[in-house]
Amino acid sequence: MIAPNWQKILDKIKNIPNPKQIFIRSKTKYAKIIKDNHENAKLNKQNLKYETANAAPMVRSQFLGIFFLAGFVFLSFKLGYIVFTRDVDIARTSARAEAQQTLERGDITDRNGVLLATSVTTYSLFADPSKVWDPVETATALRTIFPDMSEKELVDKLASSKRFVWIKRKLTSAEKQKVWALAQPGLEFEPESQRVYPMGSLAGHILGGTNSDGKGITGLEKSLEGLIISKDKTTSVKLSIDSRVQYVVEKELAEAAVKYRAVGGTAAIMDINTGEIIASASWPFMNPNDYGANDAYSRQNRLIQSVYEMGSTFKTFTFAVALNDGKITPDSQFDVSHPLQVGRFQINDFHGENRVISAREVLAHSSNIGTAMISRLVGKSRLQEFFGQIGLLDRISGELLGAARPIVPKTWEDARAITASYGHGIAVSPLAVLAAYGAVSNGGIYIKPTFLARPKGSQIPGTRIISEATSKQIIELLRDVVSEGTGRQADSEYYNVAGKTGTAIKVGKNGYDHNRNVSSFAGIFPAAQPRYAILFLLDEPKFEGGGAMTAGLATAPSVAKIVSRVGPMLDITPLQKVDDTNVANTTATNNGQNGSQAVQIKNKVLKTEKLRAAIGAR
Amino acid sequence: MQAIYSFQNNIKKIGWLNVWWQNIDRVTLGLVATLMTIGLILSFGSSPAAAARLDYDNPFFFVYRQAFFVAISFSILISISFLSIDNVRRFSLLLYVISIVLLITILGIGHTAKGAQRWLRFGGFSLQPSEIIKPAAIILVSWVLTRRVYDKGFHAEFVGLAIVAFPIMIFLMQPDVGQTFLLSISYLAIFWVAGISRKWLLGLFGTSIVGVILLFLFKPHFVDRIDKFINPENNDNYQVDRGLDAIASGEIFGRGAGEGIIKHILPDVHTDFIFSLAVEEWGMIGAFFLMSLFAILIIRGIHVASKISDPFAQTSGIGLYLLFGFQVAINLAVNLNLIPAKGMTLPFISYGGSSLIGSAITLGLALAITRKRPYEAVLRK
Repeated sequence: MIAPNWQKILDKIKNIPNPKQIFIRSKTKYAKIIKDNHENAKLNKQNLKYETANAAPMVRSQFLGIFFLAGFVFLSFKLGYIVFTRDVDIARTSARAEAQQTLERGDITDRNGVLLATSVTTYSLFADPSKVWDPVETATALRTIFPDMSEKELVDKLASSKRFVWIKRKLTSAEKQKVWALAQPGLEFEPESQRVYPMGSLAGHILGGTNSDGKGITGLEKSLEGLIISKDKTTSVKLSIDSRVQYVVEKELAEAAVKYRAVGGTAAIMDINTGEIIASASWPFMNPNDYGANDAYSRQNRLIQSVYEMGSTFKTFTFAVALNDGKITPDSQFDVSHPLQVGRFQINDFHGENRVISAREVLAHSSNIGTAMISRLVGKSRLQEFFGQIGLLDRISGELLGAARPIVPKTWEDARAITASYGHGIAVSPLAVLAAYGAVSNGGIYIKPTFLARPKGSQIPGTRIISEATSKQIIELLRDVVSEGTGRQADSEYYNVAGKTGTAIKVGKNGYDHNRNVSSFAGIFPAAQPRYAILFLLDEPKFEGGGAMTAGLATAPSVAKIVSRVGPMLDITPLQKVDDTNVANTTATNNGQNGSQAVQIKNKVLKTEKLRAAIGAR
Repeated sequence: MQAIYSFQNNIKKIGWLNVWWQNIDRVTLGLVATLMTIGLILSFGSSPAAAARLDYDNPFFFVYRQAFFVAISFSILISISFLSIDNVRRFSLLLYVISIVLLITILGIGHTAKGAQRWLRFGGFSLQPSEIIKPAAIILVSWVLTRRVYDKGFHAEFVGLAIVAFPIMIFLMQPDVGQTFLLSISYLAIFWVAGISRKWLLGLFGTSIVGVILLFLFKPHFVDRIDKFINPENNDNYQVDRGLDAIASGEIFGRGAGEGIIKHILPDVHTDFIFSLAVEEWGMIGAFFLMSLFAILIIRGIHVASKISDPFAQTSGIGLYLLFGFQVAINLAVNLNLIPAKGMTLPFISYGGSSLIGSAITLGLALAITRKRPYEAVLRK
């Protein structure tokens, strides 16, 4: 017999429990067992097929232990995630919840109180199959009211082993009464709220939509959920939208988009002193009454969820910073007779002037060469800083969710900064451009755009970005663009418009594709006392015979029409020449009383039109 | 012989109950008792809601029954924990055979009744043999697989597979996808722990994948559930949604005992969705406490079992804790909407006699196997 190592064995024996030293152990026998086990383990390691004993399972079970630990940690995180992020939807199931905490979606109205979204109560029919006596009888009875339903499906549902099956959602009250009169056991009702948009597709993108459970999916219905849903049924949310203006903008957008066969478009008006969006349209339209019926392409709100290379409308911002920093005056001279070489780029002009022109003319004739020269005076880092200040480099945050992130140059080296100065190589959402136009024209204060009506007299948060004097100069320059430059078509007969056109050639498979462009017009009205910023954009407008259009032709005329029509609604004093033409019936006059009468007539006409539109859209 | 003699002598001296108390895994025992108590406390919250839903007059109908089942299953747990290793095997074989007979009987009767039939009714109670066959089969598979250590010519893999395949086939016929899934992953794990060759492991894994695909093709009920899980907006995923509502409305500290609101509209609140109720009434804090009890029980159990020197005891101990652990994990994952609804109870917490008794048998066997027994090792050698 081999002499055992007693100390070692004793150490091991400590692990083999012998409570309270009750048992007298045979030390030799234990030594043998331990040795056997060791040899067994060795044997198993040699022979992989039989590695069962001890060592390997121990390692594997350690792995399993870690697996379970990780599993529990993950489950804990998921639990925390649900607790902290899920909105409890008691509203839907209120009828059967003991607490009867009725939560309802409140109304959404425009700034004048016109109803844009409201909720009506409907009843949904469900069955408790365990209480149904005769599934076939009940099914036959139900089919007298709902002949469209399949008998087989109904019987299957009514005979199922569940305790809750939906039969039909959202019944009318007449249908409910009929089902009630059947007196069949096991049929029960659950009140459900149905969201209705009386104006049809009007402002559909802003309102968004709800799913069949009455939960907001997109737009304000989703982002304002906290405001809209409340125990108090009378809670309603007032938007900054003016539905009359909204109607005009949508009408003109649709007209232009159809006429020029654009693939998309957007138009919006913002109050530059408050940041309130007065109208916001996106083509193609979307009808929130049947959200699911709109395809994904129409659901997209192009004002916010899309980004576009804007082209020359950006020049305004380059001018604003240059004037503000005193780098140029409106009369500084620039030689634009030769193309400008920047690195490997060559900058050319659309509308070549081939002479020495003033800064004023650079903007009016939309000279890329001139703007590039000005941007060099400003400096690339200052340009980048300024674009950041007017919100062009960040996603616009606000009430509408899902705003697109702008595509901006990663580095602001020479060429990038210069192309950005006239709106190329940088893609932003149209809303960002609208807000930036508001900032350079309202006296130089950047105000974040909002879709909610601001209470009267409320403090409006904003940051100063340029001086008041510069802002005045910008208006002047923009007015020149419309009165004698590329934007002539944008001028309304009744109100002076100031603004800038922009035509951005789209990028195709092989570089820039000259047959496709994004045409836009961004401007201010009335020019004398700026109150509103307007933006109108068409994606790929085409001439009737084919071929791309420029912004001056595609978008500027629509802006003129919109301004002419919405001026009276927004109480803007028209130009003197209104009196010369006999338009008192269709628009306002200088006389206050007549003016308001005209507005009233106009509103009546509009209301009828809108109602028609709503009915048609349903 | 000296040792055995002294041992028997000593038992007489200090009493068998005392020996049991000294040798048993008291942490597991304590945790099981705590969990059963928590289950009983939670049944006070779930019972009124479930009773109202199912039209029982007595709001505490489920509390009384739960108390009764807790008493029974705790006795079963204690009784089983006295078994010796050899008796564990005999007992499991007995359970296995009885369950198979019962399952086939139910399947026979089930054809005359409509839909899935998983229960055997007698008196005022019903029994679900599938809860009982799971631990029994785990023991038998471990036994067969560890036989290879002593008998190298023994084709353990085939016999093991047969032991597993039989109940799985019956579950599929019922059909009970949840139990099938639980059994499959538990057995795959136990095969792996027991150290069968990679070829076999891959083969079994492939078979499982094929099984899932076949299920998809031939069981519309199953496809429907998966579809509901993947596209919740197209379906009335009522139950899971209400469960999530309950969880979310519990927030951090809960609404308080018995104060749950959503429990009234949550079907199966007393069984599969008891965890959601626990969160609604006791909050995230309470849920974390409950989860950590389970985590300690499972992870520590696997660790303790893995230290046993007897290959059979080691493998089967790990297997039983795995079975228990997977069931807990599946139930929690369903409650937290990580996997489709399965019809799986939360062991010791959910209401239900079969669930409680099944869990008690599982952990009773684990306790019996992990009992400290230096003398038996001596005897076998």
